[in-house]
Amino acid sequence: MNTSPSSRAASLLQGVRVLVVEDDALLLMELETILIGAGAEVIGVCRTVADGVTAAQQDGIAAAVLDVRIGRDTIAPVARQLASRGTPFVFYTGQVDNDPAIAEWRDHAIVAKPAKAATIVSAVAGLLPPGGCEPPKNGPR
Amino acid sequence: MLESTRDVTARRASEQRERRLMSELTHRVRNILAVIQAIARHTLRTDVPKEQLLDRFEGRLSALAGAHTLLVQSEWAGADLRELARQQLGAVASDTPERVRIEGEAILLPPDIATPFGLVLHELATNAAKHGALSNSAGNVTADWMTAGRNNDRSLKLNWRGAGGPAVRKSGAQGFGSTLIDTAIPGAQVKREFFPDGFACTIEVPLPEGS
Repeated sequence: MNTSPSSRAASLLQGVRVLVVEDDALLLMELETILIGAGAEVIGVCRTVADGVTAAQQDGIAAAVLDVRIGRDTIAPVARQLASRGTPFVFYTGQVDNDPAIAEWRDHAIVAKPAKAATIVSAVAGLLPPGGCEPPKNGPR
Repeated sequence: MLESTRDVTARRASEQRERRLMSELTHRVRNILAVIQAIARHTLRTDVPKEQLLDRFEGRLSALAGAHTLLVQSEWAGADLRELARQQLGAVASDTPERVRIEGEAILLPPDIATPFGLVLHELATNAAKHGALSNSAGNVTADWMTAGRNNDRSLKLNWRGAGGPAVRKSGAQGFGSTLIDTAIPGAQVKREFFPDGFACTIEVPLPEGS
């Protein structure tokens, strides 16, 4: 059987609880498939900012993948909600150059659309605390 | 050469506009590339014979391109549903136009709805041609629609109905096409039903003011 990079990728996010916010249904399905394929537990897939803000209030989210332009809105309220709880996130966007919508988070990782599955997986893995995939137990509440 | 203050202001304004347009264009292009990538990945994952994969992918790509053409023609105001339906059904059922009925009022679908709507119509038509009412020599399909409500509380209801086709059965696992039909259009309520002589689907979607 195949035990090379693909199976490593398959466990890179083993058990990691991930939230995804993306307004395009096809991209959302794709992100979900990629993350689940890497072992993640996708605890929420949201297509609107309102749903994203609600989902971001859950406990135990280890990481989030966020599109920036959600319909006519921007992701900012969701990102703020996550940031206030200490939940790390990565932006997945077609707007790669200094989008004012995410100016508050200039130091955050941005993955440019379209990205290879492995790039998305390693960007999410890069958000996790070193040495384990468990969500922080005593992170800010 | 000296530029007057007015010239400089005008030049700056036009440069700014150009930058904004470029940024918007980049965003759209990258987004559409990601959509094509998602379609490719999903299509390759589906359980269809290898020789049909390219055909499936190209069909979906054409559907996307068709919707895009209508949007460009309208200068991104929206796509007329009748034109979109004719285009998407016409592409799949070009040999049997008399077996396709399209009926409904003129309605402009906003860009964020038009593109996925085009893809959904393409999936419905492709399914009809492969397994449904357009797969034999006698069946037909109807797509008709109406709107309800007014101003900022308008919605569109489209009925898709296949008749006279072979007996259809709901397949076990839900494929990419079905998931696409169910979820692609933002805010839409979609119901798929299997009747003895054909498949039916209703799509209800809220419309922004001025559609």
